[in-house]
Amino acid sequence: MSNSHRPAAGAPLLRVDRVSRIYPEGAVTALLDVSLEFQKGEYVAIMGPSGSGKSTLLNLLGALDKPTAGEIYFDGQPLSGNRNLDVIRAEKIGFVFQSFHLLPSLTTLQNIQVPMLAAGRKPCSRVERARELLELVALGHRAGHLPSQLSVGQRQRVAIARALANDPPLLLADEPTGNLDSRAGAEALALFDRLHRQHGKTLIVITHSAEVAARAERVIWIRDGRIVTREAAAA
Amino acid sequence: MSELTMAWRSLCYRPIRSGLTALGLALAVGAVVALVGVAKRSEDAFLELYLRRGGDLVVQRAGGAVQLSNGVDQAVGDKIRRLPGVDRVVGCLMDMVSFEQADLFAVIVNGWAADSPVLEEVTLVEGRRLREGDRRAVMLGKTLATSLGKRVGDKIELYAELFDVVGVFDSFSVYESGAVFCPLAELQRLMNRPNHVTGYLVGVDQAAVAGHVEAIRRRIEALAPNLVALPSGEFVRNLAQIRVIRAMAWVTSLVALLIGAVGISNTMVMSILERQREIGALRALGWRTVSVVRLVGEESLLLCLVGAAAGSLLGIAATKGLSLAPMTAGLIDGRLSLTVIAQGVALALVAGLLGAIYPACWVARCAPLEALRQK
Repeated sequence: MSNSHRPAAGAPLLRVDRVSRIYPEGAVTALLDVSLEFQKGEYVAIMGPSGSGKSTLLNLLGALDKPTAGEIYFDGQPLSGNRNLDVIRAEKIGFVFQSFHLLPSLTTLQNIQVPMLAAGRKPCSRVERARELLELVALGHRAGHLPSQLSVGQRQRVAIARALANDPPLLLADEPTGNLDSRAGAEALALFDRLHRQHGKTLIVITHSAEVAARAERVIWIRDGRIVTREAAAA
Repeated sequence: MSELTMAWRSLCYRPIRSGLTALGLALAVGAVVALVGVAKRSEDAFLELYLRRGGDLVVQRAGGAVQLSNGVDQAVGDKIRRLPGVDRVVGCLMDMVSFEQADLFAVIVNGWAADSPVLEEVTLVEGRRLREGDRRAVMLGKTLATSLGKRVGDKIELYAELFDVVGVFDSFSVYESGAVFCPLAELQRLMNRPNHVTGYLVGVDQAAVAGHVEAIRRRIEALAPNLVALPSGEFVRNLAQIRVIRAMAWVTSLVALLIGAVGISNTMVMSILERQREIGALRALGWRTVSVVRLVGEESLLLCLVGAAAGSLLGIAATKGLSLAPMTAGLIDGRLSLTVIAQGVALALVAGLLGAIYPACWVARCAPLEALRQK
């Protein structure tokens, strides 16, 4: 693990080029002139105090928001002006939300198929893939359960399985252990490790937890919308 | 799993709200099916009655909106009979009476001449048919006789006079089965309209060439001033009562459907507002705006289909119930056409689409990040 924001060598999966995000309604500068690179297969943790701009950065990386200035390149292609951000989100990015956002009316097997509907996968392959992923997260025996019938840790694993539905190269996780007890948190982190090492996924994880950050290859510190050193972030 | 499954499961996840909305729509569709169905069936039944009684043309006095208040001199009937190409002329005097003790407030009374073919064409169930010289004698339609609890030999009171029930008959027509048949002369006396009938049914020689009916129609209208001869279909469609029933049925039904659409819109808006973060999650997971809008539309349409199915059954049951109820037994035919049911379902689907417009627009405008941030 290092605490540098310098990119590793090689063609980056994501490049953030002098990006700022200013919210005009509150005149809040959430990010200011941020430049970063994320290599393919990298496991990166983003840390910083509340309100530092971590979530804003994650939303921009996930094509959920647009920068006020600067550009973000995904696989070399600029995101601004791209009319197919939905397609990028469906096929290239897997989101793991802090509060999971599973659809309460759908079973776990069905929840995992939701991104596959967006990607237009055939029905039979959707079910097959969803079962594979449930096995991957060790929830094969919970296929027919509703989210309300699962423990919080199990819900998180379903959310991770859903993020993997279309086999995206990039996984974005917002406080993935924030709502979990220590055991469930450890299980989720072990799963992330496996996805990184065995499946070669690029992981970008927002966290307050030093334990989570310790698992990452690189930690980016952010404070007041700027990339800073660890020491500056802690100051 | 498909989008449709998602829509269905979402509805099932909130069973009380979905059920109540579907029930509201079912009542609206039931009203459409029952009211429009009754109006349509009334029109069809009238037309069937006129046509099967051999009436290619209906002759009556022009200028009156309400048929029962009009009258045609019986001498005109004789003149029509003498016209070439005329096969059959049936005159009838009509009135409406009530039997309040039996809660029957609109019973048709037909005055027929003893030689009228209609008296022979109905099926005699009990007793005898009316004949020349009958005084204070009536035949009762089977439905009416049942509602009144009368049989041959009993007496009924008409126009404050007692009449003997001499026969009970059945007919293909709900209107005849629920009617009183009275000697024409007796009804003319009771209504104080001597030598008058309400109108004539005129049958044209079937061998006549096309256009012959039109020629006969012009000749009939030339027989007397203020006489109008209309093809049965046109006559029935223009009957003031039918038009009023039809208009009222549609107005009532459309109001009901409008309420249904508002109910659906309310349900869908509530549902969408409650699920803003779900909507945001769908968008974050790569769902296009159009797919989420389609999901909202599918939920709305599924709700409507359930409401329409239940409403159709409700409408059929209501119509059947009305046709069997003593108060309306002689006025409402319990059969409904598939067209009317299809109209009810189609209107429900339109209501569903209308109800989905606002929530769908909201979803279309909703940015994924904003939706995800909602509490």
